[in-house]
Amino acid sequence: METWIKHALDTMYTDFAPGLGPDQFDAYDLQGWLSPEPPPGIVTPRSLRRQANAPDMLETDHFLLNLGPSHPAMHGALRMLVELDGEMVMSSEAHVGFLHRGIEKLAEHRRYNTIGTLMDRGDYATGIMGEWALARAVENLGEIEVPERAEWIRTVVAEVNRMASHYLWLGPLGLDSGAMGPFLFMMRDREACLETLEAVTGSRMMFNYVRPGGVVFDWNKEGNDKLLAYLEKADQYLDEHWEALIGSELFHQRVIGVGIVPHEMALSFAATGFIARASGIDWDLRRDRPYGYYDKLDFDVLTLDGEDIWARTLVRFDEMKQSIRMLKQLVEMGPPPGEHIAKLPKVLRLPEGEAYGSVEGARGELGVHLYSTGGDTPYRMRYRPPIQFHLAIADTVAPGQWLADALLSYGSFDFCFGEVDR
Amino acid sequence: MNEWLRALISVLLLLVIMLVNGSMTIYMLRKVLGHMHLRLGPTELGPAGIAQLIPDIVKLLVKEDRHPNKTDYWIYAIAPILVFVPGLMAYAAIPFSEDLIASDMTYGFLMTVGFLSIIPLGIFAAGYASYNKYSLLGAMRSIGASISYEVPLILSAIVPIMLAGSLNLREIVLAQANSLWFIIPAFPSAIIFFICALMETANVPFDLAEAETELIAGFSTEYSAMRFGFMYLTEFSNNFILASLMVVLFFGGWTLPFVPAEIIEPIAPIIFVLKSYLLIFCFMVVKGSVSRFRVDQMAALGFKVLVTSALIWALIFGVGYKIFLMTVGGGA
Repeated sequence: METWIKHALDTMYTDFAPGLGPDQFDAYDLQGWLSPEPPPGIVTPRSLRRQANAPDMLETDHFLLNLGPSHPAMHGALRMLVELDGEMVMSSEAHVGFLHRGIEKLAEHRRYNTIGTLMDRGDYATGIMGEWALARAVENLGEIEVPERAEWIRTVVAEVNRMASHYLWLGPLGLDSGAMGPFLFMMRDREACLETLEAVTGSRMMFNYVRPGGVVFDWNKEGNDKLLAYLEKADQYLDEHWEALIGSELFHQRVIGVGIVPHEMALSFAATGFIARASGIDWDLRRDRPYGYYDKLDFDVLTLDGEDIWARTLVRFDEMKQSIRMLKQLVEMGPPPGEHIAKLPKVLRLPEGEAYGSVEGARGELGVHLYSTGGDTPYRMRYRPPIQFHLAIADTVAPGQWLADALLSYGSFDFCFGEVDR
Repeated sequence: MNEWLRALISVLLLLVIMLVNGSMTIYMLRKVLGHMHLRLGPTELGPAGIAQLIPDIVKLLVKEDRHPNKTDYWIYAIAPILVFVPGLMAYAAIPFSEDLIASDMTYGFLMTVGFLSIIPLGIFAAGYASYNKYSLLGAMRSIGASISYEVPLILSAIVPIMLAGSLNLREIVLAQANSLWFIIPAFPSAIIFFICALMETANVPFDLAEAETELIAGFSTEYSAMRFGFMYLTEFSNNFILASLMVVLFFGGWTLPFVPAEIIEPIAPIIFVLKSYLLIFCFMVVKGSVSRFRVDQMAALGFKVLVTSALIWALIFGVGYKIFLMTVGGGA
């Protein structure tokens, strides 16, 4: 190819932005970047910089390193362009869009009960949450009454899916820190969750289960048995994970005080979910704006001021414990009698207007905003992916950390690129 | 026998031992980690999957040996040899039994450690010549690691050397044959040595040079085929060297307590290898269960904790031992 100049991993490779030559970046003042600590009080994203030619006192050059999209430590198709001074990250810049499929545009040509398949492919680690957010938006706009039984089933599958997703975060976090064993143990537990979901919804990943008005299939015995079998072991499994990974001294050494997201930054970047709760923002949709069956459940929300990866780990670990607690309560209540889906016309037409529906997803507030002009498809759908907000935090907090810490801190945000790229 | 012929045979034998050790350790790692991680490791080929090694090695041998365009070719080509040859030479002084030593050097311990410290040079050459940023980072980490573990490694061996009064590995073992294993008087040294051995063999808490989730494969990212195979095998066979050094220094080499020398003599190499593999097993259990250190944490551990404690312990022990010899032992 004529335009191909150098391999991107080449030490001399600088052409990260074709068309923007190095001379256009000469005017940047680099003083702020040379100190190992990030400048104090920074709460906005740093401006883009693509030229790494700042000699420090030893006259060694900084160099640019592509982490991802196929780097083993990058979760999902994220490309982080980091500027390194030795092993110290000087700046970090996220490049997204490798998984873009135009979900929001595609949704404009789909009937309301088929958009769920797109939501599955957004946040693919917790498909149920995306479907539920969409269903809630549709139900809010169409003022559709959802049967009690459907709400119960939705809550159960959402919590099981949350567990599955959290396992998929905690395990790889251990892997990023170098511990391989806990990851494989968590895959065993995730398997139990996925089998439950498979028995209930018929799928392990792309569920297409929660639809406007209810759920597709009724609660069944096989799913119930699998859930009971999992719940019996779940607490013991969590203790194992604590012993093997979270409680270990070496893990503490890697995560305490690393990847700090200050309280103000979390607020100004609109962090939600566990990122917010680990930075002292006491906010959980399940408790503060109850939906589904959550108002009938007894659970706690842990909020910490640690602001680091350790706080995030503790918050999420507590979420897992609370999920198990909720699932136990739900199973004890049993599914309420009645239909599992409301009687709706085959082609659902919503009135003109707009509505927002959101759920507490595994990673934060997962929302869908619908704008309808009265047809059987939305005029515009907006998908609010929590991770996109957290991504902006992740590349703001990376500078000033060691490369190993920066990678661990990227991992701690639990990226799921299906929903960022949409 | 002709001296040169003897040397040639020893080298060939050591080569075989090294290759067997390297591949057996790879197999063992897969099995041990497998069972620690709720899986089985290789199972299909041969009894308990042991024949899996054959296609693995054949694959390394027949793969295309390619290199990226911009490599510094000669350094790139020589680097695996720079890793492999010192790894082989380090076997020279290892006493498998009283007579089974390739080269009974007076300063056997120092020579072994010296050969081992050439290996980071080869690794740095590999990382530098690969013309890849990950490789370069891995190579620099490897140098950083080597300066932080080599000093405490040698310092921690001072105590057993004091006890044996010799740097010759065979004599160190013989000194333990008639008395205690040195692990008992020199227990703190053994702990320091074990940690340094984990660092030297790049086992998990210290596998910074090729931290998979940070640097892809570190210094060996751009290597393929047998050039990669040489580095891979050396890394695994180093497990054996470090384990056998520790067996020699602290666990009585080929001897067993309360067992007379006549019984031990015919099976001495087997005892020695078994002891070494038991220690390798310990390395692997650690590898399978903990997280990794950061670069600065590892350096801090090496310089601040290990060097200091090894020095202080050597001082305390040395003074105590001298006083003991002057009052009770009546000599030295």
